[in-house]
Amino acid sequence: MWSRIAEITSTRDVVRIRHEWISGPECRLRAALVRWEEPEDPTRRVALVGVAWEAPGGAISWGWPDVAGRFELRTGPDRPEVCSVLPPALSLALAFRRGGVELGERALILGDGFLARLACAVASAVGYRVVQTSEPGGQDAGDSMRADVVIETTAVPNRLEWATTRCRDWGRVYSLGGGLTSVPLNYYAHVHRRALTLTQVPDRPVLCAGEEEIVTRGTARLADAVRGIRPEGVEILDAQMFPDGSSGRLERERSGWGLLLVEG
Amino acid sequence: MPLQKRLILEWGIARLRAAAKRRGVWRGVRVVCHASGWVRLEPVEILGPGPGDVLVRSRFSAVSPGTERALYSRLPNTHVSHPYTPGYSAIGTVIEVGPGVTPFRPGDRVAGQIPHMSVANVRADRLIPVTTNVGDIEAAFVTLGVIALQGVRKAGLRFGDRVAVLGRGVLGILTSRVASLAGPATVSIRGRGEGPGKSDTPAEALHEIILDVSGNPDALADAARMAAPGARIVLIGSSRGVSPPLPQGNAGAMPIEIRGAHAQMRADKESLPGRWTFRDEAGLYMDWVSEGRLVPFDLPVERIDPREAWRFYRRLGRGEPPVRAAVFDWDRLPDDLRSRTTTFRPPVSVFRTDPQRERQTARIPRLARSGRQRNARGATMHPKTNGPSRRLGIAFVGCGEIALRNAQAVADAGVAEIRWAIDTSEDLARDFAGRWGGRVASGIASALDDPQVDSIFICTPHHLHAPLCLQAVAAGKHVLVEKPIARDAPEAATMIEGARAAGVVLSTCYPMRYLPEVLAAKGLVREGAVGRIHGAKIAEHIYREISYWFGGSSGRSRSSWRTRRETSGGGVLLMNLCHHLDALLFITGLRPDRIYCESDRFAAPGDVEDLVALTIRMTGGAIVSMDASTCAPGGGHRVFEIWGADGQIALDEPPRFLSLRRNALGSPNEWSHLPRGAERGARRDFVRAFAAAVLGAAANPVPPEESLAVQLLIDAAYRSAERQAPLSIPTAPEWPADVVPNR
Repeated sequence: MWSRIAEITSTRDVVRIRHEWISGPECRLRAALVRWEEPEDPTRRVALVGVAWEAPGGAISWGWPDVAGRFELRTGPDRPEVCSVLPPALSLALAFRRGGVELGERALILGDGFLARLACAVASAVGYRVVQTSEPGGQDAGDSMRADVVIETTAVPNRLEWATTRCRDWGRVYSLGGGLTSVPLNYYAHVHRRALTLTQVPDRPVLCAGEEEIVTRGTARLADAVRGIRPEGVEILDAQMFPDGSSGRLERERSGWGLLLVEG
Repeated sequence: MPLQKRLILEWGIARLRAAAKRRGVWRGVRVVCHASGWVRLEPVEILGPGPGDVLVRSRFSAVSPGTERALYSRLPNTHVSHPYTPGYSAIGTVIEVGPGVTPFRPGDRVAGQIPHMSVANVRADRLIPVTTNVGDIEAAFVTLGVIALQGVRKAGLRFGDRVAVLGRGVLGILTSRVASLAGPATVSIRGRGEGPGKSDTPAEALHEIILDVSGNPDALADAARMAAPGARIVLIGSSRGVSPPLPQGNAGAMPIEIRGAHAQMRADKESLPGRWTFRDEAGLYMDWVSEGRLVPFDLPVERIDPREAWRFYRRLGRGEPPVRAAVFDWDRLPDDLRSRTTTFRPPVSVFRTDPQRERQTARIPRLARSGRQRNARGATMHPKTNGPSRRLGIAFVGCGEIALRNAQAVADAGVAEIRWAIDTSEDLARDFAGRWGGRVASGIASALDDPQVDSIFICTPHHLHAPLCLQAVAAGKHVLVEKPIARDAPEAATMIEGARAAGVVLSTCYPMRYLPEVLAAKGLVREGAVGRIHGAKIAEHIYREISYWFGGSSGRSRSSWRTRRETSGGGVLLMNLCHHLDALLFITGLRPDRIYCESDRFAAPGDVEDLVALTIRMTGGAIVSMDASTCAPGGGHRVFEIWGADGQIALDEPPRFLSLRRNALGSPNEWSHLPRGAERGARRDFVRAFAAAVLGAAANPVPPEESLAVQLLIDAAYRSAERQAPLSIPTAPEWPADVVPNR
């Protein structure tokens, strides 16, 4: 498997990505999914979540960084902008697979940002019936009935607690976006007594034994599901790639997620 | 309800029900927890078994140390109402079966969900026959075995998994042994604070399954650090509090599942995959114990005489020494106490009448009703609402437990509006704002800049009172501060100086002053109904669970500030008795002259006192005796008496007085009731009075100089205790009798 290394830095107006090969041919970076953990301050805590490259022959490969910032490249099933959003989608799909999905269960998705839209697509693709709501108590929240599965994507304090209240006993709550690492929770009241399963879903896949093959088999189907889903372009930043010197633009939404597309 | 009355009532009800249902009545004994820290063995009467029930005579009942300690000490996340009978796992013999019960016959050995009672009626589906070669004590632990089994089942443990069990208690050991039977590669067991082993390689330190049996909310962070990708953390023990966010780093980037496995969430009627009924799980436990595959606990097992239950629970409450497997041994009781069919003699003579209560009753021969109440509110208040005509803007700083009560008072008063909810814990501030309104902030600056904020209500730990007050008065805001005014007199004096310089109102929330009985008492003293005051006696003995020191009474805000003198200023004297000291000075108008104090810490964590005794010589010669504690199991002992040449006032229950003179509230030489009120109304009236003072319509309801007087007395008490000698109390610049309100 080919591998590359890439790192990102950001100022208020410009993002810069430096990428180099470790093994395999020299490739052009074509698209990248980027996340700012503190959306209010674009100069801090920015990370690459998914990147798509184009080899000289036109083949697309994609990957996500490990803890050392190294990307193992996989064959891309779709266009670069689709491949670059695959890592969070794949992470959620694997979480669903590990937890088990009962066909037709009701999944309530909390949030209205990029992650929420992605979660809707992935949940539908694996067989859930999906309801999305942006606010606690919203009309779409299905307040009269508890969902079998609740997917919390906002990481806003108290939303995780609210998400557990919207889940039926013995149900599952998935936390995307780092909610579990940012808020305290009374696990006795919200998880233990109701036999819930609360799952932390990282924003990029962490594979368990035997899952490599699942990634190979499942990504084409996943790309179909998430095609067209991208962060909203509320803010536009210039992007510069090093050392090749190519440029592009990054569209960023308020939640801190952004999609970078390289021109040409 | 007093115990005597309750027993008689239960006696009557049991016989009425028995007659109506044509069933017998059985008498036995049970362990009863009447209040946090107060357990006793007492008689109980129960009906013979109804449809689906089995009457069981207990042999051994197992102690579940974590749960029972949590309930006894009322740790967070425990929900019981007193009195209750602890225990949920025992073995016994069937005495009688109800209609429709086929699996059991009298004489059968059964085990199941039986509380700590010598004889109990149990639903048949909560029992299981005991296999012949299973010992009594092993069988008594059946419910704990079921809890362990369903936790391991919920984990979905598979062959080859690496398993860690957090918690070395009885249930932790049992769980690790059950887990070992499911084919894991390794099972390790770790106690509190033992995260990944130091000698573990990184791979060995990660586990696919982590079973949290510790009951410690902080253990989840350890569990997350030990988790391999895709690991499952199963909550088997009930955690006693709020868990902090999972650690960033390894755990933050890791897919993990946290599964709740509370015992009550098992299947009820029929087992399902992953969810077995109690009977099926219990059957498995019996089989494995019978086959010798499962040894549920290590020997020796502690056998407790049920008559010594109180002693055992005290030890359990302290957690010293660590309690391992223990059972109540009901065979140690004499047969006639343990279980027998009833007599029709009511249990009046079971307990002797409390001589202290008799004495108190004798002192109040006839209580005449007195309907008058005093209104001490500002004279210029609004005629309908008794409040000022403009609504005051208030910012709450500190959104913990007491803030909720004060916010209720602001809402009740109807003269003020909450504009800000400020707390360093954003969750608390949001929760507060959700209930009472206002904007949320983590610092005071925005509120001080807000022109709609007239006053700051400080409800923070005591060491923050002075700095926050000085910030607020410098910004021209009036200040209400929850009692005590500060940690000590110098801090209080600085606050007063600051308020004076800024020309704003500073008032301490001593709501007891606005209780109708206190206002009436002050009126009686003022009109001479008591005569020259000779003495006063104040006692306030309560029991603070260990959880109080780390989360207050409600557990709303977790912090250890109460346990440290540096942050709290003191223990029961400063935190509790300050109310009574303020009320005493308020009612009598006397000044303290000399004081002797003894204090110590017996049960409270940290370095603050939990028992104090004071003797105070007042100007004019009166002698005041005060004692208070927060370490009296059962609590509830309260006395507040003031007496003089012509009468006596008692502000404990029921508030009453006797005067030899003609007076406005009762007949001479007869005990009469005083009007009485509740804390909620008192806080409301205090807020109204404060609002009136801010708007210039009335005097400051609690001038800070009077709070300083209380603080000086308390400071002197602490010094006296340190020096083990009586001390003169220094004269403050402004003493209560010379009060110059600060505006």
